Amino acid sequence: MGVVLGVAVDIGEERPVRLTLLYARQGQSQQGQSKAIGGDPIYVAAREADNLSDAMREIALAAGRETSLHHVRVVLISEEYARTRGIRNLLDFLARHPQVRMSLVPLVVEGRAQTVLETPPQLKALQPQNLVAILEEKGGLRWRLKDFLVARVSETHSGWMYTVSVIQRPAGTPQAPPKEVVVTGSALFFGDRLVRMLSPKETEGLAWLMSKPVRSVITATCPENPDASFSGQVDQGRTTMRPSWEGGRLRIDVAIQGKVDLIRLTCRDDLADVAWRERLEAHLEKDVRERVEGVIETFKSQRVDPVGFGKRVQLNDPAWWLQNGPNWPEIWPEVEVTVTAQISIMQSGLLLKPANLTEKELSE
Amino acid sequence: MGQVEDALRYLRRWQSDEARQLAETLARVAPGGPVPEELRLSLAGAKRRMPISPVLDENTGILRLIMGPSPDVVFRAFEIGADAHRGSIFLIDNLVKKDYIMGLLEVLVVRLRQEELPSQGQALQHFLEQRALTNHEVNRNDNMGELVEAALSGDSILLLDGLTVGLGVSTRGWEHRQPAEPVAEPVVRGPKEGFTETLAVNLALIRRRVKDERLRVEHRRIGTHTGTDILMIHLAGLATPEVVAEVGRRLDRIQIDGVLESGYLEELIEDHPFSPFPQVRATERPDVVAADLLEGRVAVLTDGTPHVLLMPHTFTGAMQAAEDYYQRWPMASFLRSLRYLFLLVALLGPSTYIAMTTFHHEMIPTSLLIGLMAAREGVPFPALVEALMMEFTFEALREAGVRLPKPVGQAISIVGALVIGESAVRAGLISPVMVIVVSITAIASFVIPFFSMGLAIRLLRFGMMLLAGTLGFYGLVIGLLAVAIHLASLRSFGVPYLTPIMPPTAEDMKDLMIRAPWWFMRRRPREFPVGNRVRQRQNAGPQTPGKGGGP
Amino acid sequence: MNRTLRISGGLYACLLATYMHAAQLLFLPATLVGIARQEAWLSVLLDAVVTTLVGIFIGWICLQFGRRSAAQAARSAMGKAVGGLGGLIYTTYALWVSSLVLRDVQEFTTIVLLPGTPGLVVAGAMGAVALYAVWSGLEPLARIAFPTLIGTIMTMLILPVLLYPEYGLLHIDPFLSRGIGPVLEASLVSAPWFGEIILVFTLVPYLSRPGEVYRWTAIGTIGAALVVTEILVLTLLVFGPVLPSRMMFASYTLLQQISLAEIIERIELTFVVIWLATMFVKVGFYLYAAAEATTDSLGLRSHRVPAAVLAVMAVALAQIWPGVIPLVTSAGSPIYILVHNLWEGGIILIFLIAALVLRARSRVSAHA
Repeated sequence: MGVVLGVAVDIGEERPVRLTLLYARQGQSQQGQSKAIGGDPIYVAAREADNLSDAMREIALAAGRETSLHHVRVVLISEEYARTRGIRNLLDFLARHPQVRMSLVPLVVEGRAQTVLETPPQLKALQPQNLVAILEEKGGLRWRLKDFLVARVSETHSGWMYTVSVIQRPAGTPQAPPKEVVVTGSALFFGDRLVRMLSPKETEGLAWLMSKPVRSVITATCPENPDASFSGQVDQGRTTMRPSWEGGRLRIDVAIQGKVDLIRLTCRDDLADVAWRERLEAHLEKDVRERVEGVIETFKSQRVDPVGFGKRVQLNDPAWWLQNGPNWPEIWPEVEVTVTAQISIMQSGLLLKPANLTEKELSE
Repeated sequence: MGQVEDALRYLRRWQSDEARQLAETLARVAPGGPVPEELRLSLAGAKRRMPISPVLDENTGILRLIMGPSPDVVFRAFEIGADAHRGSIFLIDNLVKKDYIMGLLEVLVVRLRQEELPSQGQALQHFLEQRALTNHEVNRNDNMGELVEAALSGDSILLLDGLTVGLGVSTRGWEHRQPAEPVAEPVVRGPKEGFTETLAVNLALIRRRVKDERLRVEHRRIGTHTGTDILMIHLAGLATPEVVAEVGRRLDRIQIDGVLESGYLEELIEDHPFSPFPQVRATERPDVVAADLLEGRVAVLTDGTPHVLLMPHTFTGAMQAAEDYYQRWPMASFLRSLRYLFLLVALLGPSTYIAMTTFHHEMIPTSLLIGLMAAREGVPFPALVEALMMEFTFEALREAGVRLPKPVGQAISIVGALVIGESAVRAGLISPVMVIVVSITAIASFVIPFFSMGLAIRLLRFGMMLLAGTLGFYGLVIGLLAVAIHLASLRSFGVPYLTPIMPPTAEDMKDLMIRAPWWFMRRRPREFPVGNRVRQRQNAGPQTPGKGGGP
Repeated sequence: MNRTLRISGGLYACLLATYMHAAQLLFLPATLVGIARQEAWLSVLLDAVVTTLVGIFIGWICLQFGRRSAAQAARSAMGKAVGGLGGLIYTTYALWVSSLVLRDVQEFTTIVLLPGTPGLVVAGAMGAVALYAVWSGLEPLARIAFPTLIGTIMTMLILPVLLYPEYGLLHIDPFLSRGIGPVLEASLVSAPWFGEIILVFTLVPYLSRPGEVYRWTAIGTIGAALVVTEILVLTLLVFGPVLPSRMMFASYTLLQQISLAEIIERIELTFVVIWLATMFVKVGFYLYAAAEATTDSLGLRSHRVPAAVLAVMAVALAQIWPGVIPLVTSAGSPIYILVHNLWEGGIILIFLIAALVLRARSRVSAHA
């Protein structure tokens, strides 16, 4: 049986669709002397065809084993495919297939999707597992095929996906593969089409809005000295969105609460001083607020709503939504959104004071 | 010489048509010639109707004819009393204890040498029984049939001129095994005594544990040829009278030539003869019998085998080992739960593996699946065939291990398992994972304390494997449901086989997956409808002295 | 058949709850969500209330029959021909539903568990074991219903925890945003499924304390409805109010979402095993009901031969649906709903008449 772990979809060079499958290869058993199959632990097969089903069939015709999609962990979609073709076809194919689980992770690839499957990972044996592990390592925001499907059929949401790309490996040992795959940010969808790619920083803003900013790092300049900076790693974050109507005008208040652990501090400040700590927190708050405001502006500019502003409005005033809901993409860019942030520093690692002399001590 | 004439005289004295015909046939036998076997058989067939003749020689003559020319049939002639009254002791050599015979002869020949004996009849019999014989048990046998049976059971038959009964003197004593630790049911903690092949010893072993006058023992003799002694034992007041009566009825119904082991009886009295599950428990342990008697069960002892039958028997009973009740209860409970878990493994281990690898790889975690597939790569058979091959081989190995003489057996099974397992994997015939699965299953099937239940599970396992190999998990569900329906419809002497699981009896759960502490088991299991259910008085638990009130 | 058999109230409710919820779990969530969207669970509860009342009414009818089965009572009340026919209508209903259930199992199994296996083998295997169960009598079936229901209850307890990471507040719509209309419409669609309450006609005569029939019927019905409701609520929480209506087996897809860790993933088949057992109890019980009603209607002595014939018929009938798509979609069609509800109502009516006749008769004899 051929166990497929990853699927990549590109626009073909000669025909409309190029489908690539990554098979886990049944290596030789340790004891048995049957070393019939040698080489890589994976096998990548690609075909171009008029549609996904045909491409799948053609790959199956070349595979000596029954192709099983039970264990597909990632579906990689090239940016170009998602922008120009839309992913309606692909989503239907995946959701309908009895073997495909909705817990797989859809990813947009900057560049050719196939190359991701061709790039061997380093800390894990197989690239699909590696990608899933990277996303899990990033924090609590799980975004799977199921979530995308739910968002796509809902009246209030639009979909988004994480993006990855293949880069030249900046550092490497002699045996290391020359390239590696990195998670770069996220992609916004309007309906079935990709409309905008977000940078990693913007993606963190998205995570804040979805109340899952865990493990992201915020960096701000020191209050006294703009040349020095400090960083905090987010431990918890919660965002509430409260819609209200002022004279018929819709307005949404976004309130962010976060708890942060300091991981780096070059400022010459003493954390024991409450006032100083509050100033540090204020700087962090500013950073978060600006980041979130930025990403909201991006959403508005693309008329997309991946984090559920519309849903909050609907839950808040169902009657208003019944009337205006269908025009949400038009209304949304005009909505006034105010962001407030409140960040508290909870821990500061194993150091209480900076590792250098503080301002106070110097002056003494 | 002589015996034919004596027998003829006996037959002529016995006034009946049957005797006349037998006499005619016997008269045709050439003097000194061999007596035809048919004639001996027809004489034996009439033995229960043959009275004892007052003439000693006639009796010995006919007895010799009936018994045939066996070297261990002994007639020891003697004379007793002052008037040299003629007598003979009829016995089967080696079934009697020689000391007893010597003692008997000493009494008869030496002590009574000077005595004036009553000449014959009632008076003589009374004299012997009341004043002469020192043995603890003397029975009167009124016909040749009883007499022969008594002799074959090890009694010595005292025949005297002028006496129309044969006095059976209990002189039983033969070579037998001493009670030793049962091989099949060993314990770490607990009595190391097991039943033997001798009925009397076995009964004594039980009596020693249950010193209660309410212990009722009923005797039966089953088997037209073997005449096996059967004892049915229960504790009056605890056992349900209906169950006791039903066991008796079923035993009485048996018409068979021989009972050589309690397994014969088991199959003849169980409720569902086609079920693979044992509905009667067999044990070699007297403590188990005693415990079951105390729970109101009926025990059936069979002469010639150390295996005692206990009924009614339930599924959960098969999962209880004697030692559960001797070890501390938390440990016993853990082991009990472990057994249920491994019962499932024993039944479903290989079949689950087959179903998952053949049909449902989606169930296996991805990384494990890749490992499994790598291990199975190169194995030329489907998982089902692979599993069947291994299981059959293993069963054969196990069987060989049991059948072969002990010193060889162990070596063979170890070497066999190593060689076959190791080389089959190396040769690429079997995947290493399958060896693991089969080994775990094998271990699991030994975890079931009652051997016959383990056998049933082993048998069903093959069915499950076939179902899993053809219909995957669906087949497994179907198979499990069939087994469950079967178990739910089984009854052992009126008691549902799955009590207390189905029907659920909350109170009896105390002895199911967990074995509750002894002080908690105040009542006997509910599975029997009546009977005295209180096991111990209230507040029988260990009492800690009050705080601060210590010595 | 063992007429002296008595089952306790708990076991009665257990069997009732098991056979009521089993088949509903597979198709109802998708169909109901398609109509009532987020409020689908409300329509189930609505049906449960009505069904409980109907069940209690049926219980009253059964009490008029004493220890006789409904078919026996109909025969003695309305004569061999009419009463027997009434009993046979009940038989055909039980047979029809059991064939539908067999087909459900068959389709689910061939799509999800064993692609490529002939459906007849799947239905035949279950039919054969069900026949074995029917031959063994009602007792083993009732006994098996108990651990099966325990399994279901355990599933219901553990599922909300296992699915916890999948819940999304954003999947929720405002409550009753589209009014009560769709809820009522959906409750009509699930009405035929809840109409299967009439099968208690077979069960009540075996109840050990007939006086408790009302209580246990209510418990069983509400219990079954709660199971379905929970699955619906979980489906909605995980998939939102739109996606489930697109699915063939929404509840199965729901189970597939469980993914807490690498080993607490891909465990949906564990739950499917329990569900298959409940489906088996359902098929077995319906076959038993059909066999018993046939035996009583025709005045036969043993239920073995009718059971065998009915089992073969059920498996054969299961094959007449042209495929899974009509099987699923027809459940929402007005004709399907109408026919089934009329059928179920008619059976209640027949036995009600029998009960009234018997009551009148006993009054006359009491006066005389």
